[in-house]
Amino acid sequence: MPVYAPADTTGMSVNPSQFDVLQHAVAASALRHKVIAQNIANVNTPGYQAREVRFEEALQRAVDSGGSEGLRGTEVDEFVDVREAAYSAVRQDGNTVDMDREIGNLNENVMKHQVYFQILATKFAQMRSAITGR
Amino acid sequence: MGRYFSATDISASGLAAERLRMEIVASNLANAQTTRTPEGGPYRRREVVFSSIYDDVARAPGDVPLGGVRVLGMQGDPSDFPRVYRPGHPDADTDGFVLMPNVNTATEMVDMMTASRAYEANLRALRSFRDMTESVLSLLRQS
Repeated sequence: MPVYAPADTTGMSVNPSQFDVLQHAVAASALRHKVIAQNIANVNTPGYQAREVRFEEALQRAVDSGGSEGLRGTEVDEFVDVREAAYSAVRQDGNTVDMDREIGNLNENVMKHQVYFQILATKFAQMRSAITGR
Repeated sequence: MGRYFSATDISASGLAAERLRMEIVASNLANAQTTRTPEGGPYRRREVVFSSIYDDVARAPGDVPLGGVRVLGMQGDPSDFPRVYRPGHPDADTDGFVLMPNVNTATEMVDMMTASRAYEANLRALRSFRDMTESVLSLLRQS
């Protein structure tokens, strides 16, 4: 019977697999919601520049190079990039918020957040049933 | 946990600001024909001034200093009052012209629609955040 032996057991965590990347993904999508909410609240503020949040590529690169365990001890700040989106101002007051785009981002982000958290919660539930046998 | 809930503050500020804008529009529309005010002269159109908020409080990791939107104040529209020829009007001058409020009904209706749509969008952002938090809480409740 093959036995799974992880290559490096030093610093083994009681957390499930992929915990670190999922934890960062949950936090980053919660932060993205704040930024989208800020854009929506300022849709009528003259001169306001819409902001966007990017983190998926940075997280993916980190996982590709070091695995999820390589993220342990890092802060989500290192992967989150909040910047003014490169949208052109089509409105006279210089505001770059596109309501329909923000609503679309809002819905997409809510789904992503729920997916990340659901996966995390499922992993913990599996661990619990493995530990308790129920 | 405190910072996780401040997305509510951002959306709530948007709701308050757009609601105030709608109230100003309603006031402008109601006074579109008001030629006599306590200060003298016709009603002067009012508009709200919005500004985005960044809070300067020290941030936790993974947070952004966003506070939503604030109404800086209300100001009078400085554009001229239109002179309209209405010889029978009680406030007409000797030539029969009346100074009317600088309120354009069509403009006010468009402002009302944009404020209303923005209000709905802020409400949706608030509800989405509640859905996100509720699904998190319900999953935590199962453990």
